[in-house]
Amino acid sequence: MKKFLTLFAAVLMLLSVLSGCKMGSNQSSNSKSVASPQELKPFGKYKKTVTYTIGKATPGIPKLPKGQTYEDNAYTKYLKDTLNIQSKDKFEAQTGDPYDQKVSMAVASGDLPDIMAVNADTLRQLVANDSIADLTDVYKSSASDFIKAKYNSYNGRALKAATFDGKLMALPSTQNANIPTMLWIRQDWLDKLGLKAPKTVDDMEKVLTAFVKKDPGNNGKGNTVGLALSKSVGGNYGSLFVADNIFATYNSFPRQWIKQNGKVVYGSTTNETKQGLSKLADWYKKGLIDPQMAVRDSIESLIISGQAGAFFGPWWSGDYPLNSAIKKNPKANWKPYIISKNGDGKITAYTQNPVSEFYVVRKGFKHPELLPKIASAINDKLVREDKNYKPVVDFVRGGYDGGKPLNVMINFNDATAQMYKDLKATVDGKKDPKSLSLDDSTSYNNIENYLKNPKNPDPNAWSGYTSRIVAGKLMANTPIKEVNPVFFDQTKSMKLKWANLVKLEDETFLKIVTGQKSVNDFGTFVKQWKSTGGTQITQEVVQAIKEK
Amino acid sequence: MIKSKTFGSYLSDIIIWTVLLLLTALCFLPLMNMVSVSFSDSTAAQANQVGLLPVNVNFNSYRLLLEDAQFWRSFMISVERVVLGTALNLLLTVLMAYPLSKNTKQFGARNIYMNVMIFAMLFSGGMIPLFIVVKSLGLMDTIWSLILPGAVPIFNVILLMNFFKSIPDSLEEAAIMDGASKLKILFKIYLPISLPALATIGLFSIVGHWNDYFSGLLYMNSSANFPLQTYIQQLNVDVTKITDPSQLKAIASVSNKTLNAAKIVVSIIPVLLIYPFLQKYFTSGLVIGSVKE
Repeated sequence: MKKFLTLFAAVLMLLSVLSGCKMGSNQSSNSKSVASPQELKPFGKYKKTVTYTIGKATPGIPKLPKGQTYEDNAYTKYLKDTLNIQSKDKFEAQTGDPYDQKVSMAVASGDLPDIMAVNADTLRQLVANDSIADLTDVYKSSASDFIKAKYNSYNGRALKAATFDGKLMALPSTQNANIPTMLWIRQDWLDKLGLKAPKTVDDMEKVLTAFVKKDPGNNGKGNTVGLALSKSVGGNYGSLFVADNIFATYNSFPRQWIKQNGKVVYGSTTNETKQGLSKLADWYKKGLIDPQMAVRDSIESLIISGQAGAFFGPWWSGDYPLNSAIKKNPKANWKPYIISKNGDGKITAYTQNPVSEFYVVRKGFKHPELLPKIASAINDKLVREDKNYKPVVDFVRGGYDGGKPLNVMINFNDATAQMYKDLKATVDGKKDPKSLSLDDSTSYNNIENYLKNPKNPDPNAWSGYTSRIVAGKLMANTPIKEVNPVFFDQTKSMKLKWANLVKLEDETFLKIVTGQKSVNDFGTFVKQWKSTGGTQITQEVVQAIKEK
Repeated sequence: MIKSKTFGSYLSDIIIWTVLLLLTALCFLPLMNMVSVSFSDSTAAQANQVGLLPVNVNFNSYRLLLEDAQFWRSFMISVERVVLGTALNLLLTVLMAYPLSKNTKQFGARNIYMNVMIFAMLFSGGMIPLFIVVKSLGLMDTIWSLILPGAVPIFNVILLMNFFKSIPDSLEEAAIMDGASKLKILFKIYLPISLPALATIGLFSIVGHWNDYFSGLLYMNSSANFPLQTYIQQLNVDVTKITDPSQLKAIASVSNKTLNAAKIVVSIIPVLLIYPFLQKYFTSGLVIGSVKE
């Protein structure tokens, strides 16, 4: 019997090795580039046009100028002009599930495009199958210094996520800091009731109570919502309608793997989170939170229609959803404030995963250096040296989207704060508007429009000013004690069990906040969470952190 | 015969009418709301203020849908798919259902075919093997990738087979006596009296082909080749997942809600148009008057 088992295991291993070989059947052709030293330079132009195939992630709404296509537009033209390269779409699909679907089909059929974006899970699979190229050398030779500096602003966290056994296997898109999220509040309601802007959680409670009781928006009794809150109460970094600011005052960081007293824990299961939840449950009971939060399908509608008096959101809330709110009611004066523990304006907040997606090169592709070169051209040369390149300027000004063959985005970690500083300096006349980047100069136009007519601004001007100057200032000036989550990946057991655990967590949190469960049931939740896979996953996470 | 109207019959009429009207309203009102939203001002729709009548009527969402050539291209691909696909579906279904409706004496291998088909209906190879087959056959990015994988709808075959079984044998015997061939029996006798069944499975095919977005997503690599539903599905943006401000700009310019409504309205029009034409077959009798027993 034992013999049989060993034989069986051996056959299985042989099979897996064989299938592994088949996946990377191109490996005989070494992934060394055939480019000349001149062509290996970040902005070196090729003598002969290099054509490369890509997996193209398209924006939801097709927004290309007339006559331009995904393979032939301002950006591909720019790359053709500067590097003499041309993209060809192996497949096109909308960013998100449709694109992931296409990628898994390409991986399953072993027919990969030369360059494509994948998620962390697929990246690991591709590395294990040995079907993507090692980019360590070409990153050194063909990424520009500016790009390297951008990656380095994450203290090595960004590239580390794409490094396996000391080899760089992908170039990640970065996600720069977007904290703190702020409390957006109806300033006109505050003024009407003669209230001061809230600074602490208790202040906030007073303000919300006044909003709900006194109905400053004339919505009719009982129709005013104090705080608009999402069903997934907290733990989504930098997004709209979550109460992370409240949780953070209790040192609670739901949905994050954090280190607490030297031990790795899942933030949703800590005692601190229980305290945060009980605060929200208390508010819900007092009617300060949207009573229909559990079934509300569009929270934006509350804000746009003028029913809600406050919500938590990131700096860009001025663009969305408040742009529509101002269009609907120009007198709705929304303003952002920082809620802190003692009202001193200092806050604690968790940081996010520094990388979003990974760009990989197919093993066997003759020009692996193309990826760092394209990344450099788009994120360095085009935004600095060539920022007046006319076709791209027209493209951006026209509000078009989806031109870049690869959406690889590399930003400095403090890009948003920097944006505020640049715009502020320009408004103060200390910086030449012409020196602004393309995006910033569009924003600057809006800000200028606002400043010309602050009494009765155009909604877009209001949005530009409120997001980038008012909220931007808060972002740049608020001292933050950062908590760095220790793990963002997936572990083995997560594949099977995580979805259920998240569901358990979502349901319990929502029930506790809406009073269907008492806060004391939190302990039961933690126990159940642990016994249905949480303990095992925590161990795996600890192990994975050790190995990294 | 003259029916005398009693109080009881009036009452039951009233109750029946009320129930039917309520049911109609239940089906019709959401549709009406959808149409209204699609014609409304985007901020009003976002603020949930559109009921049964549009607020500040405008055509922005339709303009966005219709303005670009890709919409019409996808529309035509869908039409082509429905026409080709349904024709092929019907032809193969008929050709398959007829022999299978015979017993094993007349058609020896009948049960083997039947079992293979039922097995294939219950256990599919799964998405990835199917994808690889379609890819290896070189069908990717062609209209055939949308038509051939589902060319024989087994469920419909069984449906039609059972219908054929219900046709009296004496009809076929009479035809044989007159010297008709099998093909002639199928096309000249069975098909004309099977119109209700054919209309049913035809409608299944049309609606199935028209509404399917997934195979377009799977087998079309170039977004220029997407059929209408796939194209429309791609327009659907989940706002809550967006954390990148530059993408929000594009979305803020048109309300997701009015756009979604416009999509739904446009996509149901063709089916709405076809339905009344096929409906008359559903109510007409089956084999009335073909033989006298």
